[in-house]
Amino acid sequence: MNDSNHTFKEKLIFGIAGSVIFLLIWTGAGYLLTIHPDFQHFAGFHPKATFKALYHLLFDDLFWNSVLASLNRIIVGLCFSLVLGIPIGMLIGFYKLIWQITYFPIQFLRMISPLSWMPIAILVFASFDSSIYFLITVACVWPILLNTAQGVNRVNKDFINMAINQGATDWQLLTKIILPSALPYMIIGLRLALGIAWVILVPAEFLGVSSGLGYSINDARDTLEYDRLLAIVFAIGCLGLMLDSLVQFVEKRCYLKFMAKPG
Amino acid sequence: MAKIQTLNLNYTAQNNNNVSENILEDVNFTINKGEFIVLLGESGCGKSTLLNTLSGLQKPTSGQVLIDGENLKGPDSSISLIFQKSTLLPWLSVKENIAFGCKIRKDFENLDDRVAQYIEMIGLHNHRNSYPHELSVGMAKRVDIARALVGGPDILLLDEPFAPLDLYTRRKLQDELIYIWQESGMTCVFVTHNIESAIVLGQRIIIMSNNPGKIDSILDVPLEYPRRHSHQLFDKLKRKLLKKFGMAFHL
Repeated sequence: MNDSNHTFKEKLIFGIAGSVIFLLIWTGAGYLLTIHPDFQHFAGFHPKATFKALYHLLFDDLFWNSVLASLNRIIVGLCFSLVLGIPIGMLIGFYKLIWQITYFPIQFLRMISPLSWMPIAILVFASFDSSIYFLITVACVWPILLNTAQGVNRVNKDFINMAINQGATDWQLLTKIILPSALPYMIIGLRLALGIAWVILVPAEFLGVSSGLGYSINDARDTLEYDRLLAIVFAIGCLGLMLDSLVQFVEKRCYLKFMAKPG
Repeated sequence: MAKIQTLNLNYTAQNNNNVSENILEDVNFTINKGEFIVLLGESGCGKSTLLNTLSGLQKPTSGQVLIDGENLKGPDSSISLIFQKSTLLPWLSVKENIAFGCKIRKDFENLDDRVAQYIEMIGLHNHRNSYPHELSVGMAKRVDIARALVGGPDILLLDEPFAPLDLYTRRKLQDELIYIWQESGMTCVFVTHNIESAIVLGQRIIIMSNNPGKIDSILDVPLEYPRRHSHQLFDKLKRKLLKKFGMAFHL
């Protein structure tokens, strides 16, 4: 108990120290940028101006609509990825033949930047929103699929034999042994996917939609509101951090429950 | 409560170099109802394969396993298997792990009472809601045993279950196992490479030879339970077995 308190205190102190250093570098970089008279109009990049703009954003309905629009796209994209990635990943993890057949196509597709699909997505899908769902899905399906496959592949064979010996049907093997065993891996996949989705989101929203955080950044650039621009960038970072912490929290709980501890 | 017979069991498997190896060759024996049999042999002599075949998990390449005269076709809930490594599911508590087999067989009659009774028997009442990672190796093994027994099997197969345990825990659990066997009247087949365990537990010891796995001989152990290491006959049998292995494998 004492030990965990200690590490919590350490975490807090180092976290604050890191944030202060980050702010100092930001201030210094902002100062160096605007020292030149030609760049005076970039004064909005200073932390002070940014935080002021951020404060205004908090009371701006348009900003919250952008956040909701972006979160909605992330969630829909991730849901498609889960619906595709988990069953396919389970098949690949379970049947060695399918793993061998799909190995090269999957590694090949995985290495293509999802944004390369952008022109094709716009041609194929009627709405910009569907194109964004598609881009996020194409980016996120791989970590979910591959981690699920690994989780299923690593199921303790003794657990399977034990369950068969106890009279389990194939369906029970799947739901009582394989799924719970692979769940921590699926959640790791989900966490990786969420990070990728959040990164892909902003460029995907440059696509032509008229809502979302990526769109707001573009909009702020067009209206030369650099303080607002950086405030949105800052908000994107904060939201991403929050989403990741949420999944990390679930991941930890899940690890405690579903993974055998050594010893 | 059930008689086990094997008829010319053979098992062939491909090794890493794609050469087929005879793991079991012409295995024939009969185990009487309610008997406690030990399968003794060196590591890798096919005794685990033989046990898996008796459980129906593994199909023999040729030959048959007869349970009370009937051909064993696959896993059967009346045959319960305990593995060397604990196979408690980490996401279930002690209570839920013990009930696991009964629940998947939809055997719900008085399940809570039966589970509680076995938790009492293995002395883990205070740990009934604990998770496997909170248990010692010996406790986990007791839960494995309780899960295997709660469905009331006719045959209990044990694959070196006490090998990972320290000497004290092993001796204690061996005594407990004998007590459970005497109370229940099950037929037990216990696989081990430990000569002392074999003499402590078995009414008869089936000695297996290596490469391919064959029945070398069968040894009677005419000693009363609980057996003590200090007994004269115990020592005699131990020497006999040591000598046998020394001769059989040119050690």
